[in-house]
Amino acid sequence: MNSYLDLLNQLDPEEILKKAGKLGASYTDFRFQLNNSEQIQVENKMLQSYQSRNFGGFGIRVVVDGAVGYSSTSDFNKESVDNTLKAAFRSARSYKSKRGIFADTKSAKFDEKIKIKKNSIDISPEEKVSLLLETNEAGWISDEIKNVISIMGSATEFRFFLNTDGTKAQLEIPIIGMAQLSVAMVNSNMEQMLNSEGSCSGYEFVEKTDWNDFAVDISELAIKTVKSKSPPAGTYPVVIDQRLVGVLIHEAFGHAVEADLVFTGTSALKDRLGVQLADEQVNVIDEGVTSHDGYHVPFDDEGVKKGKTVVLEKGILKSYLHDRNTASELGVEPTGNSRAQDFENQPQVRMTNTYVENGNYSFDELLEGIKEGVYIKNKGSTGGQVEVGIGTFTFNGGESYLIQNGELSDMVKGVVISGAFLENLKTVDAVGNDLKIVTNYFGACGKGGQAARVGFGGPHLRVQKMTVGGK
Amino acid sequence: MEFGERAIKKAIKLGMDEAEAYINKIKNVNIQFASEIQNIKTTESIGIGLRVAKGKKLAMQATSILNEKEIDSIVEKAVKIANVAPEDQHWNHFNKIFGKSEVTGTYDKTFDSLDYDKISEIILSSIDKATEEDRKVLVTRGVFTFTIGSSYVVNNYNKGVEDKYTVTSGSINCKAIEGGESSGSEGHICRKLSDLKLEDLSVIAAEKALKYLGAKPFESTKMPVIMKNDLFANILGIMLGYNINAENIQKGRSTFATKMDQQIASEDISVIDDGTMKDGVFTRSFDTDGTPTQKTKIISKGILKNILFDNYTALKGNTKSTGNANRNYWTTPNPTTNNLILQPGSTSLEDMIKDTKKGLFIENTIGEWLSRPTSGDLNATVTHGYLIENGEFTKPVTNVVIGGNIFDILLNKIEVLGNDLHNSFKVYSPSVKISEMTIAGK
Repeated sequence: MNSYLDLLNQLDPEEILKKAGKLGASYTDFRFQLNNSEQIQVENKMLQSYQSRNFGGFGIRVVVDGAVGYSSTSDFNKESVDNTLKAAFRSARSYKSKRGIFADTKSAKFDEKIKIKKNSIDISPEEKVSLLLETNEAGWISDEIKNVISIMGSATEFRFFLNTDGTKAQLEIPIIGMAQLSVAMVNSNMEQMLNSEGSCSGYEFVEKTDWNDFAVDISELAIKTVKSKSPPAGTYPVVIDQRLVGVLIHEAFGHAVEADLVFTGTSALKDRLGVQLADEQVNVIDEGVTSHDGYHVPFDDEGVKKGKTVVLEKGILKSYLHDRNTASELGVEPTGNSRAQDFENQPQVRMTNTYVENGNYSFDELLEGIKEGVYIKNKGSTGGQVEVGIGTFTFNGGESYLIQNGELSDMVKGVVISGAFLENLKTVDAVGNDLKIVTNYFGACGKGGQAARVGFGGPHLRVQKMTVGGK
Repeated sequence: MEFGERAIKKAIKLGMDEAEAYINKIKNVNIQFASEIQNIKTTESIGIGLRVAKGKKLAMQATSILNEKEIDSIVEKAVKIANVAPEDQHWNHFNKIFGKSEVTGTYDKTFDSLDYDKISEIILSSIDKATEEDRKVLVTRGVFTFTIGSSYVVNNYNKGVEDKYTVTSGSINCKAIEGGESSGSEGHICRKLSDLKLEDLSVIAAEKALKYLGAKPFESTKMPVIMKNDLFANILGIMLGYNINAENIQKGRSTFATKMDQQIASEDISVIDDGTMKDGVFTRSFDTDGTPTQKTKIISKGILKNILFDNYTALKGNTKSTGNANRNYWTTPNPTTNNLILQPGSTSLEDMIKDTKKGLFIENTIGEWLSRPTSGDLNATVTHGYLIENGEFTKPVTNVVIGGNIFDILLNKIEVLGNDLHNSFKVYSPSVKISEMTIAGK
């Protein structure tokens, strides 16, 4: 295998920046990435696939007369470096724009590596496969289970960034995850349930958990789901769990504060800084490295440090999220939110770890006072979608229960929530005190055709009005 | 390509019984714009996926780094894993006979010499078109892409086969800037540059944004629904596509195993999968296993006739591949649809609307992909819909959730099939009228 340094040294990034300067670029940056990943899947008690991928390459971004050109390749020979540089210039010279005007930042040097105890790639294939076979076996809890999948995924990512403003940054980051899917059939009705857990750490993450319990839990949930009923369609008070709060705040609110979407007019939050959008109890944060779990973004893909950005403070919109271009447009400091999926994509404004801060309510207190409502968890949910332009969102809930007279009652399936998020946000009337932040090996945040890993979370929340779709 | 042969030779030399390499190359130009061009990027991607088999023990390795040292190392790692992996009892062998079908319209030569200045002009003119005739809208996001790709498959039984293709896509989102929050979008994907009219998409998106100003949810109810062609195509791809995938059926993730040769849809409904369709978005001469593509009857007059196979699932099911293997270079193949086509009827969309006393016309939804194809339960949130009363559009509708079951809809509730076949990516459908769906609103 070609090591990260072997490949990087072949390219001579300093020389590329010099060359671009001579060709007339007012700014150039170079991003190199190598991602070594492995995914093992056991299905129905048999090894289904064992696949690894080394994904590496580089991209060059140049600014010529204010216009940005970007070009990337995974071909490492000399000729290809020149062709890639040429392609970036050709793009930048074929149109006029101001996207290449960047806010000033201090030049910075970063060299970060997350420490791990055991690299998953170094664990023998036999050990990993046998763990998955055992996990999968555990999922077969009754004849009603028809299909069980167990997956382990892990990756180590190297990122290197160099620009003509004197910033040089490198990062080595691991991520690992386990996923389990069970399909249950009862009286020819079929339902599937999916769950995953992940962390920016080494194989020690896998070793510290009992995955058999995890597998049994998903299978039990699949059987309970297939036997349960859909809730009647309508608008209800709901309580949502930490993960779903994280997903919702990320998708339905977070994207709307990304300054690129604000400036193009896509976001409904243009000209809303200083406006009360939610109850005083609600604080929303975007933070690169948190003291909880989550993803790890010490700096962004423009080499800007990502600290803690207070987005919503006591319900008031305090800040958008910025890259260097949008920060310059608004005359503020960049917030370190310029992120690219990989070297094949140029960075765009994107969240890091976005979460709601703790409030004062216990879980039982959140349920109190709800005569008829729904408690919705994220476990088993397959995600959601948002139309940022008008703030419409829809999410598929996972494990869910009816709430009757302040207490949880029957489980319900097929819960779909939807609404106009800014409206729903106003009806958040109680914030829990059990904050959790998570990340995911298997999922990522999608925007503008790119996907990137993020962290998300919050405490339990009560929302007084939410449309719940059923049958 | 020589890297593919090198990898196979080395794998066999290291004791593997079989080896296969799949190489995918892509050159892509992607332009993003809003009220001005925001950036242009070009990407050259290449990757090789190597699969090896020792008896029934398998492994797969992939890389985007194509040099001899890297290729040798992925072969060694694959061999190491295949030697210790548990057997896949259902494994037979890689595809022993490669072939190509006759296809037309898959490569547009104008992609070979793209004129960036001309493309910029088309984009600027499309941005202008949105605001013509005094339309008070803003273009908030647009993407124009051009892709030239090639697929190459080789294994120890066959000489390599190669296919080159082009794809272009365009999409535009507009937002109304007066009178409230409202947006509209339109997009298209096709093989030839001349078939993609970005300026027209822009006008449609702008008009849509204005048309839906003041859209509101209404009270929860049940009523007939008319779905526009590309929306129903999308839904059909998600819900039917999943259930006709042989892997999903063999693994017990679909109930279609028990439905072969049975009536699963009304007699008016026929669906085919055609990998050879002229100008089809997913038309190709062979699949990623090297099997020639074909036309396969899926539902004939409501009866489930065939499902889709790749080499692995076909051999496991003791039948022939339908040429539906699909994969990325870093994943194993899976039998998915090529061009899935719901045969159109004879009614125009206008007549369908005119003949509806009360109903909901739906152009766009979000979250339809969250529906559960296993159970057939369908849910989607309407972003752009219109209430129909006495054959006419009366009120724009947004933010209601539609619900139903696709198996029930196909069997009992498709009242009218339109004559306006159109695609959403690789699924083609006419507009349809569904006799009743649940609508969750206020």
